[in-house]
Amino acid sequence: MEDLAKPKLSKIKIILYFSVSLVALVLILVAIKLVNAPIAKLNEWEIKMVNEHTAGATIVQIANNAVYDSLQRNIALRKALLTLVKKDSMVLVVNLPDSSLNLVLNGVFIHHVKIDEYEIDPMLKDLSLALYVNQFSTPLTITSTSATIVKEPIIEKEAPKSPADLLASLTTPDTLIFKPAYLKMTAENGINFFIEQTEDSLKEDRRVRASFNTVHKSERRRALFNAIINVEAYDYQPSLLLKVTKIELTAIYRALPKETKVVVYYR
Amino acid sequence: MTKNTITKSITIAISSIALVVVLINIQPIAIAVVKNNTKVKLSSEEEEAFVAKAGKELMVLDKKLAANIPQKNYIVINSTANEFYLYKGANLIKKDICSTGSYIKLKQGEGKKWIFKTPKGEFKILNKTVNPVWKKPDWAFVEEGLKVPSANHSSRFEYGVLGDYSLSIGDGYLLHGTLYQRFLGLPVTHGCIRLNDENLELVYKSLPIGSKVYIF
Repeated sequence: MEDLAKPKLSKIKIILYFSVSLVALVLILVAIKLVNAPIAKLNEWEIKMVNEHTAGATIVQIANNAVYDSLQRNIALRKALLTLVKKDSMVLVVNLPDSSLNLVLNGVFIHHVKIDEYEIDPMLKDLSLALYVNQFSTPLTITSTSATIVKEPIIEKEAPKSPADLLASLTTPDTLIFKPAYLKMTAENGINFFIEQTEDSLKEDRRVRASFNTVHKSERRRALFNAIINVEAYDYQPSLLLKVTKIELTAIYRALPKETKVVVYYR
Repeated sequence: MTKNTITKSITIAISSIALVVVLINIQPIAIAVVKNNTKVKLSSEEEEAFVAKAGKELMVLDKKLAANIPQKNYIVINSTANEFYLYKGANLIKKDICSTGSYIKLKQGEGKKWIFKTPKGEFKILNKTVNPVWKKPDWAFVEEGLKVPSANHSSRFEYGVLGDYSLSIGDGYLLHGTLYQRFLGLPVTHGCIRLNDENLELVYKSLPIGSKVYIF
Protein backbone atom coordinates (compact mmCIF):
# COMPACT_ATOMS: atom_id res chain seq x y z
CA MET A 1 0.00 0.00 0.00
CA GLU A 2 2.77 2.42 0.91
CA ASP A 3 4.56 1.84 -2.39
CA LEU A 4 1.42 2.69 -4.34
CA ALA A 5 0.75 5.88 -2.36
CA LYS A 6 4.21 7.38 -2.78
CA PRO A 7 4.07 8.32 -6.50
CA LYS A 8 0.56 9.79 -5.98
CA LEU A 9 1.87 12.05 -3.25
CA SER A 10 4.76 13.29 -5.33
CA LYS A 11 2.35 14.12 -8.16
CA ILE A 12 0.31 16.23 -5.78
CA LYS A 13 3.51 17.89 -4.66
CA ILE A 14 4.45 18.71 -8.24
CA ILE A 15 1.03 20.21 -8.91
CA LEU A 16 1.27 22.13 -5.64
CA TYR A 17 4.73 23.49 -6.46
CA PHE A 18 3.60 24.37 -9.97
CA SER A 19 0.53 26.21 -8.65
CA VAL A 20 2.54 28.08 -6.05
CA SER A 21 5.13 29.04 -8.68
CA LEU A 22 2.38 30.23 -11.00
CA VAL A 23 0.74 32.32 -8.28
CA ALA A 24 4.16 33.71 -7.33
CA LEU A 25 4.87 34.56 -10.97
CA VAL A 26 1.54 36.34 -11.34
CA LEU A 27 2.14 38.24 -8.08
CA ILE A 28 5.61 39.26 -9.25
CA LEU A 29 4.19 40.46 -12.58
CA VAL A 30 1.44 42.38 -10.78
CA ALA A 31 4.02 43.92 -8.44
CA ILE A 32 6.23 44.95 -11.37
CA LYS A 33 3.29 46.54 -13.20
CA LEU A 34 2.10 48.32 -10.07
CA VAL A 35 5.59 49.66 -9.29
CA ASN A 36 6.22 50.77 -12.84
CA ALA A 37 2.90 52.54 -13.30
CA PRO A 38 3.44 55.65 -11.11
CA ILE A 39 7.08 55.88 -12.21
CA ALA A 40 5.98 55.83 -15.85
CA LYS A 41 3.31 58.46 -15.15
CA LEU A 42 5.86 60.77 -13.48
CA ASN A 43 8.23 60.27 -16.43
CA GLU A 44 5.44 61.02 -18.87
CA TRP A 45 4.64 64.30 -17.10
CA GLU A 46 8.32 65.23 -16.90
CA ILE A 47 8.96 64.51 -20.58
CA LYS A 48 5.90 66.58 -21.52
CA MET A 49 7.12 69.46 -19.38
CA VAL A 50 10.68 69.43 -20.72
CA ASN A 51 9.89 68.78 -24.39
CA GLU A 52 7.03 71.23 -24.68
CA HIS A 53 8.71 73.87 -22.52
CA THR A 54 5.41 74.29 -20.73
CA ALA A 55 4.90 76.03 -17.38
CA GLY A 56 7.13 74.65 -14.68
CA ALA A 57 10.05 73.83 -16.98
CA THR A 58 11.86 76.97 -15.88
CA ILE A 59 10.86 76.89 -12.22
CA VAL A 60 13.76 77.05 -9.81
CA GLN A 61 13.11 74.56 -7.03
CA ILE A 62 14.63 76.14 -3.96
CA ALA A 63 15.40 73.71 -1.17
CA ASN A 64 13.52 74.19 2.12
CA ASN A 65 11.79 77.43 1.21
CA ALA A 66 8.12 76.99 2.08
CA VAL A 67 7.28 80.64 1.27
CA TYR A 68 8.60 80.38 -2.28
CA ASP A 69 6.89 77.02 -2.75
CA SER A 70 3.58 78.44 -1.55
CA LEU A 71 3.93 81.54 -3.77
CA GLN A 72 4.55 79.42 -6.85
CA ARG A 73 1.53 77.25 -6.11
CA ASN A 74 -0.62 80.36 -5.63
CA ILE A 75 0.67 81.80 -8.91
CA ALA A 76 -0.25 78.54 -10.66
CA LEU A 77 -3.79 78.79 -9.22
CA ARG A 78 -4.20 82.41 -10.35
CA LYS A 79 -2.90 81.63 -13.83
CA ALA A 80 -5.35 78.74 -14.16
CA LEU A 81 -8.22 80.97 -12.99
CA LEU A 82 -7.29 83.76 -15.36
CA THR A 83 -7.51 81.47 -18.38
CA LEU A 84 -11.15 80.87 -17.45
CA VAL A 85 -12.27 84.49 -17.29
CA LYS A 86 -13.86 84.69 -20.71
CA LYS A 87 -14.82 81.07 -21.17
CA ASP A 88 -18.56 81.50 -20.38
CA SER A 89 -18.70 78.05 -18.88
CA MET A 90 -18.99 76.79 -15.32
CA VAL A 91 -15.79 75.29 -13.91
CA LEU A 92 -14.89 73.60 -10.67
CA VAL A 93 -12.08 74.88 -8.46
CA VAL A 94 -10.69 72.46 -5.88
CA ASN A 95 -8.97 74.38 -3.12
CA LEU A 96 -7.59 71.93 -0.56
CA PRO A 97 -5.89 74.42 1.81
CA ASP A 98 -9.29 76.16 2.13
CA SER A 99 -11.13 72.82 2.17
CA SER A 100 -13.45 74.20 -0.45
CA LEU A 101 -14.99 73.28 -3.76
CA ASN A 102 -15.98 76.31 -5.80
CA LEU A 103 -18.09 76.94 -8.84
CA VAL A 104 -16.61 79.66 -11.00
CA LEU A 105 -18.35 81.32 -13.92
CA ASN A 106 -16.51 83.82 -16.10
CA GLY A 107 -13.91 84.34 -13.40
CA VAL A 108 -16.45 84.95 -10.63
CA PHE A 109 -16.68 82.59 -7.68
CA ILE A 110 -20.43 82.02 -7.47
CA HIS A 111 -20.62 79.14 -5.04
CA HIS A 112 -18.48 77.83 -2.26
CA VAL A 113 -18.86 74.35 -0.76
CA LYS A 114 -17.04 73.04 2.29
CA ILE A 115 -15.05 69.84 1.75
CA ASP A 116 -15.71 67.62 4.77
CA GLU A 117 -12.90 65.18 4.07
CA TYR A 118 -10.32 64.54 1.40
CA GLU A 119 -7.64 62.06 0.42
CA ILE A 120 -4.88 62.95 -1.96
CA ASP A 121 -2.89 60.43 -3.96
CA PRO A 122 0.71 59.90 -2.72
CA MET A 123 2.00 60.69 -6.19
CA LEU A 124 0.26 64.08 -6.22
CA LYS A 125 1.28 64.75 -2.64
CA ASP A 126 4.96 64.19 -3.44
CA LEU A 127 4.96 65.98 -6.79
CA SER A 128 7.94 68.24 -7.35
CA LEU A 129 7.21 71.97 -7.52
CA ALA A 130 8.12 72.09 -11.23
CA LEU A 131 5.71 69.28 -12.08
CA TYR A 132 3.03 70.79 -9.84
CA VAL A 133 3.28 74.12 -11.66
CA ASN A 134 3.34 72.34 -14.99
CA GLN A 135 0.21 70.31 -14.27
CA PHE A 136 -1.89 72.83 -12.39
CA SER A 137 -1.18 76.28 -13.83
CA THR A 138 -3.80 75.51 -16.47
CA PRO A 139 -7.26 74.07 -15.88
CA LEU A 140 -7.58 70.32 -16.38
CA THR A 141 -10.05 69.24 -19.04
CA ILE A 142 -12.41 66.51 -17.92
CA THR A 143 -12.62 63.79 -20.54
CA SER A 144 -15.11 61.45 -18.92
CA THR A 145 -17.63 61.61 -16.13
CA SER A 146 -19.82 59.07 -14.42
CA ALA A 147 -22.27 59.57 -11.60
CA THR A 148 -25.05 57.91 -9.67
CA ILE A 149 -27.35 60.89 -10.22
CA VAL A 150 -28.80 62.47 -13.36
CA LYS A 151 -27.86 65.88 -14.73
CA GLU A 152 -31.44 66.94 -15.26
CA PRO A 153 -34.18 65.29 -13.18
CA ILE A 154 -36.79 65.55 -15.95
CA ILE A 155 -40.32 64.40 -15.10
CA GLU A 156 -42.39 63.66 -18.21
CA LYS A 157 -46.03 64.64 -18.05
CA GLU A 158 -48.77 64.37 -20.65
CA ALA A 159 -50.92 67.50 -20.94
CA PRO A 160 -54.43 67.00 -19.54
CA LYS A 161 -57.17 67.04 -22.16
CA SER A 162 -59.58 69.00 -19.97
CA PRO A 163 -59.64 70.79 -16.59
CA ALA A 164 -61.25 67.63 -15.15
CA ASP A 165 -58.26 65.61 -16.38
CA LEU A 166 -55.94 68.10 -14.66
CA LEU A 167 -57.45 67.36 -11.24
CA ALA A 168 -56.86 63.67 -11.79
CA SER A 169 -53.26 64.14 -12.91
CA LEU A 170 -52.05 66.61 -10.26
CA THR A 171 -48.53 65.81 -9.14
CA THR A 172 -46.98 66.82 -5.88
CA PRO A 173 -44.00 69.11 -6.31
CA ASP A 174 -40.56 67.56 -6.30
CA THR A 175 -38.97 67.59 -2.86
CA LEU A 176 -35.48 68.33 -1.69
CA ILE A 177 -34.80 64.67 -0.96
CA PHE A 178 -31.85 63.75 -3.10
CA LYS A 179 -30.64 60.39 -4.32
CA PRO A 180 -27.25 58.99 -3.24
CA ALA A 181 -24.63 61.05 -5.05
CA TYR A 182 -21.23 59.72 -6.12
CA LEU A 183 -19.28 61.26 -8.93
CA LYS A 184 -16.12 60.38 -10.81
CA MET A 185 -14.44 62.74 -13.26
CA THR A 186 -11.33 61.78 -15.19
CA ALA A 187 -9.02 64.53 -16.38
CA GLU A 188 -6.98 64.46 -19.57
CA ASN A 189 -3.75 63.96 -17.60
CA GLY A 190 -5.18 60.83 -15.97
CA ILE A 191 -6.19 62.24 -12.58
CA ASN A 192 -9.42 60.78 -11.23
CA PHE A 193 -11.58 63.06 -9.12
CA PHE A 194 -13.90 61.10 -6.89
CA ILE A 195 -16.47 63.35 -5.27
CA GLU A 196 -18.63 61.56 -2.75
CA GLN A 197 -21.44 62.55 -0.44
CA THR A 198 -20.42 62.73 3.19
CA GLU A 199 -23.62 61.13 4.45
CA ASP A 200 -23.33 57.37 4.78
CA SER A 201 -25.68 56.48 7.62
CA LEU A 202 -28.27 54.96 5.31
CA LYS A 203 -27.89 51.42 3.99
CA GLU A 204 -29.01 52.60 0.55
CA ASP A 205 -26.21 55.22 0.44
CA ARG A 206 -23.59 52.60 1.32
CA ARG A 207 -24.98 50.15 -1.23
CA VAL A 208 -24.88 52.74 -4.02
CA ARG A 209 -21.34 53.77 -3.07
CA ALA A 210 -20.14 50.17 -3.01
CA SER A 211 -21.63 49.40 -6.40
CA PHE A 212 -20.29 52.68 -7.89
CA ASN A 213 -16.78 51.97 -6.58
CA THR A 214 -16.92 48.37 -7.76
CA VAL A 215 -17.31 49.56 -11.34
CA HIS A 216 -14.13 51.65 -11.07
CA LYS A 217 -12.17 48.93 -9.30
CA SER A 218 -13.21 46.34 -11.89
CA GLU A 219 -12.09 48.67 -14.67
CA ARG A 220 -8.69 49.10 -13.02
CA ARG A 221 -8.33 45.34 -12.43
CA ARG A 222 -9.21 44.68 -16.06
CA ALA A 223 -6.66 47.27 -17.18
CA LEU A 224 -3.99 45.63 -15.00
CA PHE A 225 -4.87 42.17 -16.30
CA ASN A 226 -4.76 43.38 -19.92
CA ALA A 227 -1.42 45.08 -19.28
CA ILE A 228 0.02 41.78 -18.00
CA ILE A 229 -1.46 39.67 -20.80
CA ASN A 230 -0.54 42.07 -23.61
CA VAL A 231 2.84 43.01 -22.07
CA GLU A 232 1.85 46.67 -22.06
CA ALA A 233 2.37 49.44 -19.55
CA TYR A 234 -0.29 49.76 -16.86
CA ASP A 235 -1.57 53.32 -16.78
CA TYR A 236 -1.42 54.85 -13.32
CA GLN A 237 -4.34 57.12 -12.48
CA PRO A 238 -3.64 59.34 -9.49
CA SER A 239 -6.79 60.10 -7.57
CA LEU A 240 -8.26 62.80 -5.40
CA LEU A 241 -11.16 61.86 -3.15
CA LEU A 242 -13.38 64.67 -1.90
CA LYS A 243 -16.38 64.44 0.37
CA VAL A 244 -19.12 67.07 0.47
CA THR A 245 -22.77 66.98 1.49
CA LYS A 246 -25.20 65.23 -0.82
CA ILE A 247 -27.17 68.34 -1.74
CA GLU A 248 -24.00 70.31 -2.54
CA LEU A 249 -22.63 67.49 -4.66
CA THR A 250 -25.92 67.30 -6.55
CA ALA A 251 -25.85 71.06 -7.12
CA ILE A 252 -22.25 70.92 -8.36
CA TYR A 253 -22.90 68.01 -10.71
CA ARG A 254 -26.00 69.66 -12.18
CA ALA A 255 -24.19 72.98 -12.59
CA LEU A 256 -21.16 71.66 -14.44
CA PRO A 257 -21.37 71.20 -18.20
CA LYS A 258 -20.52 67.79 -19.66
CA GLU A 259 -17.12 68.91 -20.92
CA THR A 260 -15.96 70.87 -17.96
CA LYS A 261 -12.66 71.99 -16.53
CA VAL A 262 -11.22 71.65 -13.08
CA VAL A 263 -8.65 73.87 -11.40
CA VAL A 264 -6.69 72.25 -8.59
CA TYR A 265 -4.78 73.90 -5.78
CA TYR A 266 -3.06 72.15 -2.90
CA ARG A 267 0.07 72.51 -0.80
CA MET B 1 1.65 17.69 13.44
CA THR B 2 5.38 17.88 14.00
CA LYS B 3 7.14 20.96 15.29
CA ASN B 4 8.77 21.32 11.88
CA THR B 5 5.42 21.42 10.08
CA ILE B 6 4.05 24.04 12.47
CA THR B 7 7.13 26.22 11.94
CA LYS B 8 6.77 25.86 8.17
CA SER B 9 3.08 26.77 8.27
CA ILE B 10 3.74 29.84 10.40
CA THR B 11 6.56 30.95 8.07
CA ILE B 12 4.33 30.56 5.00
CA ALA B 13 1.45 32.42 6.67
CA ILE B 14 3.68 35.32 7.77
CA SER B 15 5.33 35.49 4.35
CA SER B 16 1.94 35.57 2.63
CA ILE B 17 0.68 38.37 4.89
CA ALA B 18 3.90 40.31 4.35
CA LEU B 19 3.56 39.85 0.59
CA VAL B 20 -0.02 41.11 0.62
CA VAL B 21 0.96 44.13 2.76
CA VAL B 22 3.82 44.95 0.40
CA LEU B 23 1.57 44.55 -2.66
CA ILE B 24 -1.07 46.86 -1.19
CA ASN B 25 1.48 49.54 -0.40
CA ILE B 26 3.78 48.92 -3.31
CA GLN B 27 2.78 52.01 -5.28
CA PRO B 28 3.24 54.52 -2.44
CA ILE B 29 6.57 52.84 -1.67
CA ALA B 30 7.65 53.12 -5.30
CA ILE B 31 6.58 56.78 -5.43
CA ALA B 32 8.49 57.57 -2.25
CA VAL B 33 11.59 55.90 -3.64
CA VAL B 34 11.60 57.58 -7.05
CA LYS B 35 10.33 61.05 -6.15
CA ASN B 36 12.59 63.48 -7.87
CA ASN B 37 12.68 66.68 -5.94
CA THR B 38 15.92 68.04 -7.28
CA LYS B 39 16.21 71.25 -5.32
CA VAL B 40 18.92 73.84 -5.49
CA LYS B 41 20.56 75.45 -2.53
CA LEU B 42 20.80 79.21 -3.01
CA SER B 43 22.35 81.97 -0.98
CA SER B 44 19.87 83.86 1.21
CA GLU B 45 20.09 86.95 -1.07
CA GLU B 46 19.29 84.88 -4.14
CA GLU B 47 16.42 83.20 -2.31
CA GLU B 48 15.02 86.56 -1.23
CA ALA B 49 15.22 87.82 -4.81
CA PHE B 50 13.27 84.81 -6.08
CA VAL B 51 10.65 85.15 -3.34
CA ALA B 52 10.26 88.89 -4.00
CA LYS B 53 9.86 88.29 -7.75
CA ALA B 54 7.22 85.58 -7.13
CA GLY B 55 5.45 87.86 -4.64
CA LYS B 56 5.25 90.66 -7.23
CA GLU B 57 3.92 88.28 -9.87
CA LEU B 58 1.25 87.06 -7.45
CA MET B 59 0.14 90.63 -6.71
CA VAL B 60 -0.25 91.40 -10.41
CA LEU B 61 -2.30 88.24 -10.93
CA ASP B 62 -4.47 89.00 -7.89
CA LYS B 63 -5.27 92.44 -9.29
CA LYS B 64 -6.28 90.92 -12.61
CA LEU B 65 -8.56 88.43 -10.85
CA ALA B 66 -10.12 91.08 -8.61
CA ALA B 67 -11.17 92.97 -11.72
CA ASN B 68 -13.66 90.19 -12.48
CA ILE B 69 -15.71 90.63 -9.31
CA PRO B 70 -18.85 92.56 -10.29
CA GLN B 71 -18.80 96.10 -8.98
CA LYS B 72 -22.59 96.35 -8.83
CA ASN B 73 -24.73 94.17 -6.58
CA TYR B 74 -25.42 90.75 -8.02
CA ILE B 75 -27.49 87.69 -7.27
CA VAL B 76 -26.68 84.00 -7.44
CA ILE B 77 -29.44 81.41 -7.77
CA ASN B 78 -28.89 77.81 -6.70
CA SER B 79 -31.52 75.91 -8.68
CA THR B 80 -30.78 72.60 -6.93
CA ALA B 81 -31.12 73.81 -3.35
CA ASN B 82 -33.66 76.47 -4.39
CA GLU B 83 -31.79 79.22 -2.64
CA PHE B 84 -30.58 82.66 -3.63
CA TYR B 85 -27.56 84.64 -2.47
CA LEU B 86 -27.55 88.41 -2.86
CA TYR B 87 -24.10 90.02 -2.93
CA LYS B 88 -22.80 93.54 -2.59
CA GLY B 89 -19.30 93.29 -4.09
CA ALA B 90 -17.76 90.31 -2.35
CA ASN B 91 -20.11 90.52 0.67
CA LEU B 92 -23.17 88.33 1.05
CA ILE B 93 -26.05 90.53 2.13
CA LYS B 94 -28.92 88.04 1.98
CA LYS B 95 -29.38 84.30 1.64
CA ASP B 96 -32.82 82.73 1.60
CA ILE B 97 -35.07 80.24 -0.20
CA CYS B 98 -36.62 80.73 -3.60
CA SER B 99 -38.32 78.47 -6.12
CA THR B 100 -36.95 77.46 -9.49
CA GLY B 101 -37.92 75.26 -12.45
CA SER B 102 -39.70 71.96 -11.80
CA TYR B 103 -37.96 70.04 -14.62
CA ILE B 104 -41.38 68.89 -15.79
CA LYS B 105 -41.48 68.06 -19.47
CA LEU B 106 -45.03 68.79 -20.59
CA LYS B 107 -46.08 66.98 -23.75
CA GLN B 108 -49.13 67.70 -25.80
CA GLY B 109 -49.64 64.77 -28.14
CA GLU B 110 -46.75 64.08 -30.48
CA GLY B 111 -46.09 67.65 -31.52
CA LYS B 112 -45.61 70.18 -28.76
CA LYS B 113 -43.47 69.96 -25.66
CA TRP B 114 -42.13 72.33 -23.03
CA ILE B 115 -39.45 71.79 -20.38
CA PHE B 116 -39.90 73.89 -17.27
CA LYS B 117 -36.34 74.42 -16.16
CA THR B 118 -34.49 77.49 -15.02
CA PRO B 119 -31.68 78.36 -17.45
CA LYS B 120 -28.13 78.21 -16.10
CA GLY B 121 -25.30 80.64 -16.67
CA GLU B 122 -24.65 84.37 -16.48
CA PHE B 123 -27.51 86.78 -17.15
CA LYS B 124 -28.24 90.46 -16.65
CA ILE B 125 -31.26 92.30 -15.34
CA LEU B 126 -32.70 93.66 -18.55
CA ASN B 127 -35.88 95.23 -17.29
CA LYS B 128 -37.66 96.00 -14.02
CA THR B 129 -41.42 96.35 -13.56
CA VAL B 130 -43.64 97.46 -10.71
CA ASN B 131 -47.03 95.70 -10.41
CA PRO B 132 -46.28 93.36 -13.32
CA VAL B 133 -49.06 91.75 -15.31
CA TRP B 134 -48.57 88.17 -16.37
CA LYS B 135 -49.32 87.46 -20.00
CA LYS B 136 -49.97 83.74 -19.89
CA PRO B 137 -48.08 81.82 -22.54
CA ASP B 138 -49.59 78.82 -24.40
CA TRP B 139 -48.25 76.23 -21.95
CA ALA B 140 -50.18 77.84 -19.08
CA PHE B 141 -53.41 76.86 -20.86
CA VAL B 142 -52.14 73.51 -22.10
CA GLU B 143 -51.10 72.36 -18.63
CA GLU B 144 -54.57 73.16 -17.30
CA GLY B 145 -56.29 71.28 -20.09
CA LEU B 146 -57.71 74.49 -21.53
CA LYS B 147 -57.98 75.60 -25.14
CA VAL B 148 -55.20 78.03 -26.13
CA PRO B 149 -56.76 81.46 -26.84
CA SER B 150 -55.60 83.98 -29.45
CA ALA B 151 -52.37 85.94 -28.81
CA ASN B 152 -53.95 88.96 -27.10
CA HIS B 153 -57.10 87.42 -25.70
CA SER B 154 -58.19 88.92 -22.37
CA SER B 155 -57.88 85.52 -20.64
CA ARG B 156 -54.13 85.68 -21.15
CA PHE B 157 -53.69 88.61 -18.76
CA GLU B 158 -53.51 87.98 -15.05
CA TYR B 159 -53.07 90.71 -12.47
CA GLY B 160 -51.33 90.39 -9.10
CA VAL B 161 -50.02 86.83 -9.53
CA LEU B 162 -46.37 87.89 -9.99
CA GLY B 163 -46.20 89.98 -6.82
CA ASP B 164 -45.35 93.66 -6.58
CA TYR B 165 -42.26 93.58 -8.78
CA SER B 166 -40.62 91.61 -11.55
CA LEU B 167 -37.10 91.67 -12.94
CA SER B 168 -36.52 90.25 -16.40
CA ILE B 169 -33.38 88.32 -17.37
CA GLY B 170 -34.49 87.71 -20.97
CA ASP B 171 -36.34 85.05 -22.97
CA GLY B 172 -39.40 85.43 -20.76
CA TYR B 173 -37.59 84.43 -17.58
CA LEU B 174 -38.34 86.62 -14.56
CA LEU B 175 -37.53 87.03 -10.91
CA HIS B 176 -40.94 87.64 -9.40
CA GLY B 177 -43.23 87.07 -6.42
CA THR B 178 -45.85 84.39 -5.89
CA LEU B 179 -49.24 83.66 -4.43
CA TYR B 180 -48.05 80.17 -3.48
CA GLN B 181 -45.66 81.07 -0.66
CA ARG B 182 -45.87 77.54 0.81
CA PHE B 183 -44.04 76.17 -2.22
CA LEU B 184 -41.02 78.44 -1.77
CA GLY B 185 -37.86 76.36 -1.45
CA LEU B 186 -39.23 73.74 -3.83
CA PRO B 187 -38.65 73.31 -7.57
CA VAL B 188 -42.14 74.16 -8.77
CA THR B 189 -41.88 76.98 -11.31
CA HIS B 190 -41.97 77.02 -15.09
CA GLY B 191 -38.42 78.37 -15.22
CA CYS B 192 -38.82 81.71 -13.47
CA ILE B 193 -37.40 82.42 -10.05
CA ARG B 194 -39.98 83.04 -7.35
CA LEU B 195 -39.20 84.96 -4.16
CA ASN B 196 -41.27 85.91 -1.16
CA ASP B 197 -42.58 89.48 -0.93
CA GLU B 198 -39.88 90.77 1.40
CA ASN B 199 -37.01 89.28 -0.59
CA LEU B 200 -38.54 90.42 -3.85
CA GLU B 201 -38.58 94.00 -2.63
CA LEU B 202 -34.99 93.74 -1.41
CA VAL B 203 -33.82 92.26 -4.71
CA TYR B 204 -35.78 94.83 -6.71
CA LYS B 205 -34.21 97.68 -4.75
CA SER B 206 -30.69 96.17 -4.70
CA LEU B 207 -30.30 95.22 -8.34
CA PRO B 208 -30.27 98.01 -10.89
CA ILE B 209 -30.71 97.23 -14.57
CA GLY B 210 -27.54 95.61 -15.87
CA SER B 211 -26.79 93.76 -12.61
CA LYS B 212 -25.48 90.25 -13.03
CA VAL B 213 -27.58 87.19 -12.27
CA TYR B 214 -25.68 83.91 -11.97
CA ILE B 215 -27.73 80.74 -12.06
CA PHE B 216 -26.38 77.26 -11.42
